[in-house]
Amino acid sequence: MYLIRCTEETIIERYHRDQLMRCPTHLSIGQESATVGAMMSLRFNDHVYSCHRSHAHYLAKGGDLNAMISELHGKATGCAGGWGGSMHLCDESVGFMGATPVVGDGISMAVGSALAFKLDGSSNVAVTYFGDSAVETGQFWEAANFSALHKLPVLFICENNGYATATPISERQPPTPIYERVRGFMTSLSVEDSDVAKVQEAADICRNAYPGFLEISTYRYREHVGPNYDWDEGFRTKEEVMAHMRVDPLKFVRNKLTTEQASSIENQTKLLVDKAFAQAISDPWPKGLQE
Amino acid sequence: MRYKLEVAESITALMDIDSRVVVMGESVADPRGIFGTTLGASRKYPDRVIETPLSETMLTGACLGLALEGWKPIYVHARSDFLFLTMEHLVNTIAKWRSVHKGRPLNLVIRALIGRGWGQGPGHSQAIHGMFAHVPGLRVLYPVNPSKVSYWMTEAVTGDAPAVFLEPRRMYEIETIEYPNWESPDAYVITFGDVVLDAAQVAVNLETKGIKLQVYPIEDISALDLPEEDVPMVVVDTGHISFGAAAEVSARLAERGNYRVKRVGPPFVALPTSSVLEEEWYPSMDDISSAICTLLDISPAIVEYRPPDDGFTGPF
Repeated sequence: MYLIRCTEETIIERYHRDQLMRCPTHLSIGQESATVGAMMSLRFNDHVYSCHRSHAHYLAKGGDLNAMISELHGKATGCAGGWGGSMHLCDESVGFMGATPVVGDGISMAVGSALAFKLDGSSNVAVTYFGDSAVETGQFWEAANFSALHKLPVLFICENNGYATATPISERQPPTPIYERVRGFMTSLSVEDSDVAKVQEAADICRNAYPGFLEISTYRYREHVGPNYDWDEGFRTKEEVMAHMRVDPLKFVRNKLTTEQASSIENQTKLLVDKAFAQAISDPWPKGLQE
Repeated sequence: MRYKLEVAESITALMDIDSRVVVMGESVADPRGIFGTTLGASRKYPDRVIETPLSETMLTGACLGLALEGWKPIYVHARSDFLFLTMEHLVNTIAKWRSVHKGRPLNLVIRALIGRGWGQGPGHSQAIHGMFAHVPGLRVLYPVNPSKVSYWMTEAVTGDAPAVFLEPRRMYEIETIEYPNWESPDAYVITFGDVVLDAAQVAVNLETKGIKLQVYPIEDISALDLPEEDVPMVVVDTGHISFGAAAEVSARLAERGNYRVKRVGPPFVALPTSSVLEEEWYPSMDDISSAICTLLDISPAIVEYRPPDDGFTGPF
């Protein structure tokens, strides 16, 4: 969790200042325990698909940090060779099959992987992370229908942060909770992100439900895209954001460690992240379009 | 062998060779099996011919997931008009995937029939090869010659690039297309889709008047290989000529210095259903012949009328 936080804090520090990461970047700060808690229930061979907010999913699945930071810098050594940027992270070697910029697309792709696993007779599960707005797409309900019909090994993880860009969920969806609406199709649970272990417990049940749906209530601290806070825009208050930051799930984990343990993890992580940025900056540019 | 049997046999043959080929779509496993084209495959390989709900957007994305896991899906649509439901994935994920993922191979085919005749109307008839060819990352194939269907199907399924495979319904009962071949033709008629039949008839008619017209069907839309000669060329399409495949051909010929080009296609309105309006809408043999004669600066040759339906009695 701290690797995700530290990586994104470093992006924040450098994003506008350095002008070296020139691509739209959607940060997951505040949502780490949702991502990591669910990821803890997965096996190495499970395949994960992500959405536009993909850094946490990529890193939690074990995606290569250097290749991600280089990709944000548009370098040849990036995980997409500089052709993708923040919204196209991919590391098939660890089962992170890809991210997609358009809301809902990764859901469908995970259904395809799940169908492949079923045809192969494999015990792997396909996993798709998405936000609350994705359940407003047709693809989600098409996927729910098809995966329930064929009892596909797919785990749908909805990280509900309450906002689509700046529009609250109350203006987009009826008040019945998402997980209750999904129950007509499959095992469907909800959990708060405050305790990462509880998220894992719920995810364990849903991973083995074939198919399963897990709604995780979480909160994004920063703006939809970019490094800033957005409480001056008027759609949510500083008090609301600060209230969530006071019960930061990352702090919850940190409090379980001794000060020395925590500092040691944080210092080592910071070194790794700083090294990845230094490496990315010195890495070569892509040679050209024809390469 | 008839076009539709070529389609059917090529799919079964590919499934024989490669156990990773899987066919899916609405009606692929029903008793009609997409005009019989998936019937043999579904009898022989029931586990690999998967009937699907009407969830085209999601299932197109699922094809990408299948391909990433090493499967080779062929997703079938009884009409090309349904492909608009697949565009989100075809354009935004599938077409982009190889460019953002270092050229990773993707074996994935989207098959669709282009309807024509017997009142298919505005939503069961659209020739939209030009739209797909506009998107880098998709290979667009539009076979017309029955004897080459199997070649193109193999190209589509085994090629590294995702392919859109379009089949004119009007060709389904056709066994061969016959037209004269010339060493140095007076003019070319370049065709997209089933209008190759009309163009072939025009070429036969014009031969009796001493005009050497070479029919030139384009089946690999993405490659778009064009004739080299600097002679008049008429381009015929049932897709709209504005911003379409015929426009692309004209532009490429003009950039090469050949300005003796005419486009022949439907008017810029949706296809009406009434049989009288339908007949007026499709490019006719007269339209093709007049365009050729205008470019050759000779008086229009009268072409025998032949109805475009070639025995098709509907409904679909």
